[in-house]
Amino acid sequence: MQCKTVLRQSSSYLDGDLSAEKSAVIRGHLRCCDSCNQAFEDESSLIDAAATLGPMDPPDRIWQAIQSQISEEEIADSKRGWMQTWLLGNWRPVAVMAAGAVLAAGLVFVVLPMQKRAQSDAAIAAGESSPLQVAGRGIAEESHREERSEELVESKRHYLQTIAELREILEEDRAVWSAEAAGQIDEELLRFAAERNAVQLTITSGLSDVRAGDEAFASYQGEIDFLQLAISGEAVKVGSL
Amino acid sequence: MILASSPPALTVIGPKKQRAGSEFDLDDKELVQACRRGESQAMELLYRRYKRRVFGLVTRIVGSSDSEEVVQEVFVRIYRGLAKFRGDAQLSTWIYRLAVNASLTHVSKRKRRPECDPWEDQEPAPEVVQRDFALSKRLEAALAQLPTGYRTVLILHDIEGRSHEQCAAILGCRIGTSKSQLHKARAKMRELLHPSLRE
Repeated sequence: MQCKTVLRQSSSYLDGDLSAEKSAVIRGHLRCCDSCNQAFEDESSLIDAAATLGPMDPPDRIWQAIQSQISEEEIADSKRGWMQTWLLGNWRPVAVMAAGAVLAAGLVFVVLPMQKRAQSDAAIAAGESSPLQVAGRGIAEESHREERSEELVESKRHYLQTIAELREILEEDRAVWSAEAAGQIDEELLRFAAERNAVQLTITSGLSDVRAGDEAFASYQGEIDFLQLAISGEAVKVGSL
Repeated sequence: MILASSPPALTVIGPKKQRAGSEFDLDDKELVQACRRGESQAMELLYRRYKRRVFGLVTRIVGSSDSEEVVQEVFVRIYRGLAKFRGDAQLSTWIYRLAVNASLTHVSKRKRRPECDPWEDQEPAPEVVQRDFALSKRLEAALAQLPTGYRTVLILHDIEGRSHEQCAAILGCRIGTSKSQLHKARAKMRELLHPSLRE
């Protein structure tokens, strides 16, 4: 065994941490190596001397100082109140819990909703969305459709009321019309009435269809325009167009 | 005739009721419980039981000029921290750990204030130590020359007689680290004390 290896194990040997076999090998080396033997003797003397150093006596004033400091701190505690004192003594776990709560809140209110929305969008885009996933959007769309329907019904009511009033006014002038003009006007009015009945059915059955609503209102507006022209004496001209 | 009347019954303070045993019979567990209840005698007993070991440990790590301040801090931490002491480790190990931590923190803070030299009132370095000084004096002086880490483990193991398991628990390191640090500390001490160890 080399001296370097032996010296590396001096502490373990002297503390009795080596096995009997290893200790015997070390002893064998020490018997024939003066320098290693001297180093081991030095270390052994050092350990023995260190063990004699022992504790030290502190000056008496330290105990008084400790008592004073504890008294001061307890008085300070009593002024702080139990909650503040508890927080001061447990600020680490409190800080960890607070950080955890903030993270959890962030996860619940920010990250998860974002993730859910992204998944929902992807599912909708892929046509794989479940009824539950699209329920939110469905409700919004339904609400929008209802509002739109109410607007269409109200507009339709105004249009029909205007048409009825204009027809009444026009009927008051029928006595002065020529037979030919009366025939043309009646023909036009019948056409508008048929068209109105047709679009009225469309609107009633499909108020959600914006295009159907636009077509119905265009028809109503056409009839109103004709009635206004007829009332103004242009009925024959209009009817001939 | 004057009748002898019995004296009025006086309430006198009798001797204080003694504990089942002397206060010195309290083991560490009972001592901790008594301190938690705020019993001043128990607190003083705990101080008396550990003061010499804590003072020796702290003085050897931080130097004599700062030791009183650090020891005071250690014992205040002990009393204030007893409520949280769960008893997983021995009380002595826990106290040593507080003392070592406070000392190392103090040394670390002091390194940032190089104008302070805690060893200025210590014994002179071994190179200039007179040959007639007692070995213990030379040892203390050599100890002051060691790096803080080596010094701490050597104090705990060779002076305080702690096992490597206890040293590791106190220092918060592995047992192997404690052993290797001690080996290096002893080698350095041998080097510092080389001539005087053979006297």
